[in-house]
Amino acid sequence: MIFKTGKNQKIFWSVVAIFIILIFVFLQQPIRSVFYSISGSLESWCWEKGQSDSSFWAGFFNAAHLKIQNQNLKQENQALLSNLLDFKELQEENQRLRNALGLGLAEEFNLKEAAILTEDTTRDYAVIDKGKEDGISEGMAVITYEKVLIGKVVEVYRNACQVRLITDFGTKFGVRVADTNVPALAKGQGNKNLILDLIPKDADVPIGAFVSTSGPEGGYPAGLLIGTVSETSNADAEPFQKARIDNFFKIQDADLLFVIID
Amino acid sequence: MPAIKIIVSFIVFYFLAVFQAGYLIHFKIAGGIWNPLLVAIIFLNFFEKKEDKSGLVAGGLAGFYLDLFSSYFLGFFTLIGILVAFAIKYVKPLLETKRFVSFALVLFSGLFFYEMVLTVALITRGLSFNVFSIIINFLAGIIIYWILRLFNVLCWKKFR
Repeated sequence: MIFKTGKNQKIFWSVVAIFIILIFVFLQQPIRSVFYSISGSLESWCWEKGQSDSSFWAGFFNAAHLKIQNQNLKQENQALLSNLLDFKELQEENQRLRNALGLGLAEEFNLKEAAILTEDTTRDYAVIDKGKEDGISEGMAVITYEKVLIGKVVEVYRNACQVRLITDFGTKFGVRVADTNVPALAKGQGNKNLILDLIPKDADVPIGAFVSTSGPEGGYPAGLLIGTVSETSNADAEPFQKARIDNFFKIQDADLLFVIID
Repeated sequence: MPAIKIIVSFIVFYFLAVFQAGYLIHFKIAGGIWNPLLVAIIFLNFFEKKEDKSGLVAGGLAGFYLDLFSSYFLGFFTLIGILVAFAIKYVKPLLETKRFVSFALVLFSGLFFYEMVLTVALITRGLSFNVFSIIINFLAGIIIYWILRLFNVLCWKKFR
């Protein structure tokens, strides 16, 4: 009856719209917090299922190329046999390094174990299953077991938190190129891409060189791994060199993450 | 009837949103993924009667769930969802031809409009328009259309 006239109806819908906007503005965090609490286990299950299924389908689609790959592998096999000894030595060295990193990680930082729940479809953000109740707060760095940097906590809910990945558009932090010790600024480009900027023109940045965080002044603890240099550009018109990074962290393959509590 | 539609959408959309953010995200093709909520908005608004306005509410609901699992402020996708629903309601009468052709045109327009709005809203981040996203969702929409049509025909024959 109260919506008998068009005017009353307009007033009603305007009030509803204002009410919804106010809810969205002031109750943003509690609403998200409640939903993540309710659906945490379902999201986690979906993430794990998606991870295993995507690996399966990737293998399935690659099966078409197996025959060609097999022929190529046979040809390469002879050449590779001669390098087998070198590879074995490298494997042992790799294992030793992994052990060293593993030991250092627990001693170096106070960590909280976490798992990914969801990933944003339009930005490089992810939600992990640890929140206020676990002592998580904004600004904390998120890494993997291998000390690879993933991102920073930007919003905390009761049982979950949002992590801005280092590759998100607009992220900037200080890094250092290993071996040559060249300082640079890492910039997120979105879509899991990361570049290095502000590299001195005369600096030597070899392809394949490791890149790690430079220290707290760069926004993260020092020595966290980022990736390897995959491409460099040193245009005359540009005041600095630039480089593209091949990230170590692949969010789709991530099983376990750690939040650095302090 | 519209109330039932909204309640069912409220429940179904929730699971679709979790499915999208947790599962489908692993199947990105050139940055584009299947967005079942967007396809659902287009379906609901295309197949509802002219005087029925529940498709707009469903658009808002789908957007709300997209908001919950995104890093943007709450209301960003809600607004886009309502805009897409409005656009379909506006475009649908202009594209009245054969049922399937009409649906394909509306589906494409809806997907294109969504990408355009998203690109404009995120212009500060560079050009984010993703053609693959349109292609993936268009194909998914067409497949679902034919499945529903086949199912509809079979059910009709059975009851007759």
